[in-house]
Amino acid sequence: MNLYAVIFVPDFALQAVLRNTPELRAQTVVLIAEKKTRILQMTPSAHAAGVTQGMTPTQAVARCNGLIIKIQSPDAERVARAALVECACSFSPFVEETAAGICTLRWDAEWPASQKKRPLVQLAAVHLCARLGIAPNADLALLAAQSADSCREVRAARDLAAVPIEILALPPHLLSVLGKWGIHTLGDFVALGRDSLAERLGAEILPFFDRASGRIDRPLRCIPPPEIFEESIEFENEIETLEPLLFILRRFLEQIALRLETAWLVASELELRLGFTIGAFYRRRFDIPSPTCDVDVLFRMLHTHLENFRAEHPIISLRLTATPSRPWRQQFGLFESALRDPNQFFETLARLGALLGEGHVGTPNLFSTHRPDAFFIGPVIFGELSDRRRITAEPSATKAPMAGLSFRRFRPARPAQVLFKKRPVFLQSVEVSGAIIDSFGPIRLSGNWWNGAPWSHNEWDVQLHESVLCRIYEEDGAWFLEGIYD
Amino acid sequence: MSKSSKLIELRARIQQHLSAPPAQHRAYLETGVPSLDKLLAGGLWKGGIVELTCEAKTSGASFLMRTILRHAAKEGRWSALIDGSDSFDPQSAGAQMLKNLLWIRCKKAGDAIRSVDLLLRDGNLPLLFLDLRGNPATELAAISSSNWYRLQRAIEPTSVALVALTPRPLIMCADVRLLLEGHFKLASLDDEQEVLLPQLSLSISRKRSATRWTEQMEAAV
Repeated sequence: MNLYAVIFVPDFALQAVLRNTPELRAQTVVLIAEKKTRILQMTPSAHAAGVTQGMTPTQAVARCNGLIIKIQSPDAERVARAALVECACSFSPFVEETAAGICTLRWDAEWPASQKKRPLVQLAAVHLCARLGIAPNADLALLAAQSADSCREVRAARDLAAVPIEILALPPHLLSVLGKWGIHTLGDFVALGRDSLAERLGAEILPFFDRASGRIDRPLRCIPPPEIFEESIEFENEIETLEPLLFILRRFLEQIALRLETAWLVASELELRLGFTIGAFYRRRFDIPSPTCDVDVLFRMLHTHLENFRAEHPIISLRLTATPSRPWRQQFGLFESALRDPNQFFETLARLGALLGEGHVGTPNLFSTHRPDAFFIGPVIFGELSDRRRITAEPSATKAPMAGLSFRRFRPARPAQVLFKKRPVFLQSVEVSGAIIDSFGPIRLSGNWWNGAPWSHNEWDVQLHESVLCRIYEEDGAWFLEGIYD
Repeated sequence: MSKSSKLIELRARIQQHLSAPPAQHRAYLETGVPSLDKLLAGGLWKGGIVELTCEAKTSGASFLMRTILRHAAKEGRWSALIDGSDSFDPQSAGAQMLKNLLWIRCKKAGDAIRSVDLLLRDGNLPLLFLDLRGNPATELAAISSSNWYRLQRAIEPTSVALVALTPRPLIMCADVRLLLEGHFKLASLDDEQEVLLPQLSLSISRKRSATRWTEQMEAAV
């Protein structure tokens, strides 16, 4: 027999907002919509204090001093829905997101009773308080979850006979009529019969009857498992220092790591998005060389970057997104020198980048040009990916076997004075000076005359006294010492 | 018995009864330069610092470094070049060497020392080159000996080999100090590696050993 389970999160919008501040759940908190001013949902403490749905905040504060008012957050709800769906997907491949805060899934009837509360435990770890209902069809399972304290299993509609009819969320006029008839429970409602209800109340009542009787075994509209793990928050107060930002980030990472572990995944990439008060955003992507769920490793990566981050405006929002991947299973070859600790190494690279600046740490890559000193600093890529992803553009001149001495370049090239009599005879510069006893040149180089950025200069290889070999060049009438052969 | 001979005898007794730690059996990293490997009795010492002092501007030090880095790349090893004055020229190095090279471009000697410190504590890369030949004398003089001792302590427990290229002797705690001399002419710019290597003149200027402190004490007395 097929069984269905429904994971139901009551007051979902309020719970979504309170996920990042779970300590407020025990206090008197109400939720209002962004634009409207009526109270939508409230904590049990606020309800006990006399606050009801539909009140204005003013009325509610009058009833309950010390009331905390929270504004509905679509971002927080989106993240909470994702967390709920991830949890459901870890228990069944057939999951339907029935509504916000409600997930229906196929349930394995072979599961022992002790395992039934596992979804609730998992959701509690991500600060969502949920209920579970199990029944032979999806509609009854939803009713079971909505009427449960924690977990409830029913075998037929008659097991829900005593549940109040308000659970069906009937339109007020239908509820009023049924109330006048003395119909207060689901059992009484179902006992009336489908045909007689349709005859008296019209076709409008039929969907509610079908739900209450569990008559229809509808198929699930299954969703694919989510692929993005994300946490976000909009701050009530602007953030101007690093410490509160790091505190929130650490919490986010713990949540994301927990959700990834639930799905047997690890993070291969992190994206950090900061929103400023002026409406601009800052985005930074972090590649994780060895995908992991280790919170300390991920936090160090973010911390190293943010230590040197400066913003001109206060931060008003934060979003952290992790791209999931399967844990790597890699067997190293006997003769390969793989990195001992890739994450530690890339953290070291981040620290070096913070110390020296962008473009000063990495692997040099050559441009396909004869222009001197044409290279760019690319990322360090290890392993078999290096051959596929590396951009190697080697000018034809350097494809020949490496001959001759190496060259040490001055950046920028040093201005020089050269006494020239058909060939250079004396060199004067800050680095080296002296009579030129031998020279070779001119070697005329030019390029990019076709795309608006032309360059050209005439190079000479010269030998000074004391066996100093260096290269000088003339450009636009001025002489420069380019470097020394060593 | 004179005071000095008493001191020597006392130290010999201390050494006998509380013997200095035995000379470590070191692992070596082959350089691919036979003359250098022979001079170092195997290669670059893992967990040690080799100082290569090159007083002449054209001594062949960059050529030697390129040869060692190319050999490491050929062996599939990654290396790092901490360039104290941003003077490395990728175009003359060749793509074969570049694909296994981490280039750290510094402008000041102080940044280069800090970078070496970070990489030693990381310990992932087996071969590090520190090039300080292009840094001004004032910057090099500002590097205190405690910095070098700290690097030496950091490298000892690792399997990293550090080669420091200096324009004059700087590192008192280096395991080996080599003096490199080379006399090249303009025609050398076209010579092959096999022709150039024998023209390099390498000699050991100073070598640290387990009984070094005894010898220094005797010399002082």
